[in-house]
Amino acid sequence: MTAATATPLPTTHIRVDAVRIGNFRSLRNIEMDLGTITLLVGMNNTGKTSFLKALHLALGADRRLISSDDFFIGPDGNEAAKILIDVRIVPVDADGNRCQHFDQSWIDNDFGGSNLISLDSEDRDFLAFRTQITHDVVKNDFTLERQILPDWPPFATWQEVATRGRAPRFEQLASFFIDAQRDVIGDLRARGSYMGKLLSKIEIPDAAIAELEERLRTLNDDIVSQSEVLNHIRTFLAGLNRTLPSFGEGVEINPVSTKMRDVVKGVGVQFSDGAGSSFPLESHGMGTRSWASLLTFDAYVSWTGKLAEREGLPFHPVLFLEEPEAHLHPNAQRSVYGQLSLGVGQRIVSTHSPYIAGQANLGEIVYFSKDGVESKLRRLPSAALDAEEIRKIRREVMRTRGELLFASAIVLFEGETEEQALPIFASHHWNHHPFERGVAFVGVGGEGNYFPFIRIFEAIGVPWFILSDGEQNACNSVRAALVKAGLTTAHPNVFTIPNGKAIEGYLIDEGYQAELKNAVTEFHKPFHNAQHEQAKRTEIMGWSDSDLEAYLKSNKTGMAPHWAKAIIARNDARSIPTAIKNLLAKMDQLLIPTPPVPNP
Amino acid sequence: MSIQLSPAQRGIVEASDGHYLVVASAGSGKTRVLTERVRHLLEAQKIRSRILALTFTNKAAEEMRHRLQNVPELSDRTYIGTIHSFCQTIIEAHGTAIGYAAMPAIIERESDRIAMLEEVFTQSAELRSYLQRHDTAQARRKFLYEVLEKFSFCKRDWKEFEAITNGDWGSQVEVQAFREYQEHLSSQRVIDFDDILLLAYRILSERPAIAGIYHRTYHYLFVDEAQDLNAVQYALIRILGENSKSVVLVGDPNQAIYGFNGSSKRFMLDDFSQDFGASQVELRENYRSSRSVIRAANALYECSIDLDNAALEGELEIVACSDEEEEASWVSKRIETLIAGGSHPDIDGPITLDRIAVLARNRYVFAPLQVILDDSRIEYHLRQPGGGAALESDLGRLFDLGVRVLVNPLNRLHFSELRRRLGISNDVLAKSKDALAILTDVCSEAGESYSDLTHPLMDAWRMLVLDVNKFTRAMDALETSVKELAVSGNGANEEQLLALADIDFLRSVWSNYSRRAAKDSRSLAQFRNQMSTGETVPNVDGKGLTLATVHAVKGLEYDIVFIMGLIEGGFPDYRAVKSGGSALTEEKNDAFVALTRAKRLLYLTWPQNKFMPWDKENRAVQRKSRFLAEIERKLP
Repeated sequence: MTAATATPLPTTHIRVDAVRIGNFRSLRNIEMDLGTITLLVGMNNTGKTSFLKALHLALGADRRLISSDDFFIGPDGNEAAKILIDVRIVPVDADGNRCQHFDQSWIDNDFGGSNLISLDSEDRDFLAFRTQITHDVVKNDFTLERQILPDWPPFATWQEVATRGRAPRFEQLASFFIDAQRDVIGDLRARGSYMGKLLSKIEIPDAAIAELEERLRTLNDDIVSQSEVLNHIRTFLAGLNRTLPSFGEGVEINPVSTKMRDVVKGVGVQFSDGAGSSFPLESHGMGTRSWASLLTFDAYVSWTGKLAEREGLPFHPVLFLEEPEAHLHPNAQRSVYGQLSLGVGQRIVSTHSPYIAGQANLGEIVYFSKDGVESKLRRLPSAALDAEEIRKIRREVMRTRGELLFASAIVLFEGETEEQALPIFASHHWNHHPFERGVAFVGVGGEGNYFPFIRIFEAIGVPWFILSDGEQNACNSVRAALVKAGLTTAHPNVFTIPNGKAIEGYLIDEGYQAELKNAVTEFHKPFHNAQHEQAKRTEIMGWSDSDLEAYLKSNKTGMAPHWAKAIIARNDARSIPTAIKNLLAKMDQLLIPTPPVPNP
Repeated sequence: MSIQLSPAQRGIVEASDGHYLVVASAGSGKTRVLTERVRHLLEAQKIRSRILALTFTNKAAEEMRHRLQNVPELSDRTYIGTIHSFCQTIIEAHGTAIGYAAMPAIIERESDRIAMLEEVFTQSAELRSYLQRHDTAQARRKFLYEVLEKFSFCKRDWKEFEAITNGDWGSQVEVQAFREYQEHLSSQRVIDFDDILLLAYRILSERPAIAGIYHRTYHYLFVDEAQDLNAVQYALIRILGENSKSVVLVGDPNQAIYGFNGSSKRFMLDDFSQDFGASQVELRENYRSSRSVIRAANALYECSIDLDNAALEGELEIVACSDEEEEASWVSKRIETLIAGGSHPDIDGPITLDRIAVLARNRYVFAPLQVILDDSRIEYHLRQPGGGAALESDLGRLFDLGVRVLVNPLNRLHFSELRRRLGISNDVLAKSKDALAILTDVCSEAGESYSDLTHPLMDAWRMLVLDVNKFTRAMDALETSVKELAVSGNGANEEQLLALADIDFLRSVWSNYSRRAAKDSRSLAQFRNQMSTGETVPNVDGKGLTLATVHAVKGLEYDIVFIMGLIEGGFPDYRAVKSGGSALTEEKNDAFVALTRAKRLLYLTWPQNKFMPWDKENRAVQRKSRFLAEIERKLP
C-alpha cells in the first residue's frame, strides 16, 4: 500500500479534473470532480458503469460504442434529444496539485493546436471540450462531435456555453475501458485486446531471428532423432521424394515451429503457484485470469508510456475499470487498491468491494444512488472534516467496516452493549438477519464520536439512526453532533433511552429483571456442580435493582447477548423493549420492506 | 526535391537560435530562406515546439505551405498564414476577454465601409452639414473616402487610435465621426478589416496571460515581406515574439509598396533591430530570374530588373506557329521533352510538371492545348483566380448580397445594396428581423421585371436557411434555372455565361470549405467569412502542370513558363487595343507580370493564323503581339 507513496510516480502533468454529463442513461445532469483515483461505489443500477462509459466516450472511444439505450429517458418516457459530456483538463504539478500552466510537452504536442487552451479568471490554463452525441432515429445512426469550450461556467449554466471550433483528437491522452467480463485467455487470442496489441509488436532483430531459427532447426532434429515414432514418420514420408522429385529436401518433421514469426504467434503464459509446477493460464481459476488480464493491461500501458517517453511525448492514460475485485479472494481484494495506486495517469474504478473501498482515501470515493430515474452522485465530504475525524472514519469505517459504504441504513450508538444486543432484537423483529436488509449497526466508540458518521452518511444519502443512552452526557454529545452537522436537535431518527438511563437501567425500569437475572446466571456458566449453580442463582435472584444494574454495567460486553436472547425468548408483546421497538418501527417506515434485490 | 542553397542562404537557414533581420533583394530567395529554415528546424533540428510563420497574403502563405507539403505533420507543427487570419483566430478564441462573445462579421469591402460612414454622417444632425457642404455625389464620396483613409490610418497605429478615440487627433468632426462609426460597427456586430489586428492586439496586450499561451505555443516566429509592416502589425509581432527563441523578419526595403497602409520599412530596419537586438544579414544574389528572363522583361520596361546580380543564364525561345493547333502541339511536345530530359543545369532538382506553367491572356486560348493534354499523360489543372469573392454576374452578386443579409440581418449596407441592384431607389429600414422575411420583402418589391433572378434566388436562399449543407443542391437549382432561361432565349447570354461560371466558382468554394469544416459545425456565416479572408478559394490544390490566365498567377513563380497566344487582339486584349491609353498600359504591365512569372526558362509562342468557328473554310491571318515584337527588337 505504501509502495505508491514510497516511489514517486512519473507525473503526466495533467489531470482530467472535472466532468459534466447530461442525458447519458440515468445521468441526467451531473457534475463530478476527478482525482488520480476515483472509486465509484453504490448499489447495482445506480449509474456507475454509465459514468465510466460516458467519460470513455468523451475521452476518445468511438461512436460505435453508442447505443440508443444511452439516451436518458425521462419519467414521461421520452428519449432526450442529445447527450452532452463536458470534460475539463487542467495542468498539475508533481504533487498532483492544480498549477498555472500546461507543461511544455503538452503544448508542443496535443494542446498546442490553434486555440485549444483557455484561461480561467485566475489566468490558469485549462482545456475543456464538449462531446455531443445525437441520435438520428430514422437512420438509426449516431453522431459524435467534440468541440472546444472557451469557458467553464458554474454548473447551473453549463449547457449554455457556446463552443469554439472542433476539438482535435488528443493522441497522448489515452482512454482505456476494462469491463467486468475481462479474461486473459480471450485477451491472448484477440488481436484488439491489450495483450494482443503487445504481442503484435514483438520485434526481434533480423540477425537474432536467423540465429534463433537455426537453433530451432537443431532442436527439431534433436527431438526427432530422440523419438522412434517421429523417425519412422520421417523415413516413411521421405518416400515422397522418389515419387515427387520437386519436393527437394523432402519432408520436414517439425515438433516445434522453425519460423520465428510462427513461434511468437503462439506465445503462452505459464503461471506458477510456487509449489514447483506451473500451469498454463487456462488451468487457473477466473480470479487469476481476471487479475492477469488487468496486469497485461498495465504492461500494455507502461509499454506505450515507454514508447512515448522515448519519443519525448507526454502520455496520460485514463483507465476505466469495472469491478477489479471480480472473482478475487478477500485478501487479494485488499491488495487491489495498492495495485491501482501504482499506475500512471488516472484510474476511475467502480467497485462493490468493501476491501477496496476500505483502502481508499475518503476523498477518492464517489457514492452513487438513484433518485427515481436519475442517478445522484455524492462525494464523501472529506474537506469538511478535520484530520482527527478523517482518521477516525478511516479507522472505524473504512479500514474495518468498509461495507458500511454499501449499507442501505446505519444504526449508530455509543458502545458495544448495543452493538451486541441490537442485531438480536432486529433479527427477531424482521425475522431475518439485518444484513439481508443492508442494515448495519455501528458503535461509534464512546460519546462525542457521532459527528463524522453523521456527516458521511448524511452526505451520501444513506439513512442513519441513533440510539443514544439517556444520560445527560450522552444526550449532550448527540445534540452537539447534530448541531455541528447543521441538523435539527429534534431529529426524528434519533432515539434516546428514556428516564435518563443507560440501556441496563432502562431494562430494569421496564421490568425485565427476571430475564436479566437469568442472563446473569447463564453468564456465570459453567458451574462446579448443581449446588453451586443453585447457590449462585439464589444469590442473583436476591439482588436489588441497583445490584443488578451495577453488575450489568460492570460486565457490559459479554452480557448483552445473554440478556437480549433471554428477552426475545419471551416471545410475547414485550419481547422487544419499547425504546428499541420504536427505533425499529421508524426504520420500517423509512426503508423498503424487503431486502434489496441486486439488478442483473 | 533537392534544395541547392547558396552559402548566404544556407547561413540563414541553419543559423542557431536568435533574432535575425534578413534584408533580401528581389529574387534572392526570401521565401525560400524562410521555408527552408522551417524545414531545417523541423526536420534537421527536430524541434518540438511550434513555428508561427506570418505572411501578408494568402497566396504567400499557400506558397509556403505548398513548398513544405512533404514535411510530416506540417499543419500540427506550424501555423502558416496571414497576419490577419492569425489575428482572426485570436479573436475567435479569446474575444470574450475584450467583450466579444461571438466572432463578429468582417466587412472587407471599401464600398461597404463608405456606405457605413455615409450613414454616420446623414444620421447625425451635427455631422450632416459637413457632408452636405459637398454638393455633388462624387464630391461627397471623395470626402467620405478621405475620412475613411484617416480612420484607417489611425487604426493602423495603436497610438493614433488612442489619440483619435480620446479626441487628441484630427478635427472635432473627425473625432465625432470616428466614435459614431465605431458605434455603428459594434451595434451591427461587424468589424472592419483594420479592426481585426487592433482587436487582436488589444487582447494580447490587455491580457498578458493570453499572450502567454501564444508564447508557450510558438517558440519561433517568422515574418515574410517585413518591409510592409505597419505600427499595429509590428506591435503584434513585438508581443508575439517576446519570448521567442528566434524571430526572423525577411524583407526588401526597396520593395516597400503598401506605403498608404501606414506601413513603413523603419519597423523592420530600426524598431526590430532595436527591440530584439536582431543581427542583420543580407541576401543580394538574384536567383529568381535567369538572365534570359530578365532581358525579356527589361525589353518592355528598361532596366526594371538588375541584370548584373543575376546568377543563372536560363533560356528564352520565341516560336511562331502556323495556327493555334500547331501552337498547342508545340507546347505539349516541349513539355514532354523537358520532363523526359529530367533536369536542366539552371534548375534545382528534377523538372516536374508542378514547376511548369502555361499562361495566356484569357482562358479560351488553352482550349486546343487542353484537348491535347486530356489525351496525354500530362496531368494539369486550370488555376482559378484568387482573392475574395470574385463574383461577376448579376445573379452571382445578388446571391452573395442575400447571403450577407442572411448571415447578419442587422447589416444594413448589404440590405441597401441589394435593394439598389434590384432597382429599388428609395432607402428604407428593413421591416422584419427575420432575414428570410427581409429578402422576401425586397424581392417582391423588386417586382416582375426581376422575377427571372429573384424567383430562383429566393429558392436558393430558402434552401440554405433550412440547411446550409444543401449548398450544392441550391447551386444545382440555380444552374437549372439559368440554363432554362438561356434555352428559352430570355436575357443576355453574356450574363448567363458569367452566371454559370459564378455558380461553378461558388460550388468549388463550398467544396473546399466543406472539406475543412465538419458537417455539423458548418454555417453560412463561417462560409461567408472565410470567403472574405480568401481562405476558401481553391487554387494550390491543383496538381501537375498549371494552366492559368495572367491574373491568376500574380505573385507566383514557376521555373518554366510558356506564354501562348501572343497576338494583337489576344495579348494585348482587343478592347485595350481599341481604347488605347491606360487600358493599353495595363496590358503592358500584365505582359511584364507574365514574363516575370518565369524563373529560368521562358517560351513565347504565337499562332500566325486562327480558325474562326463561323468560317470553316478560311483561317484568319494574325499579327504578332506588339510586346513580342518589342522583345525581339531589343534582344542582343
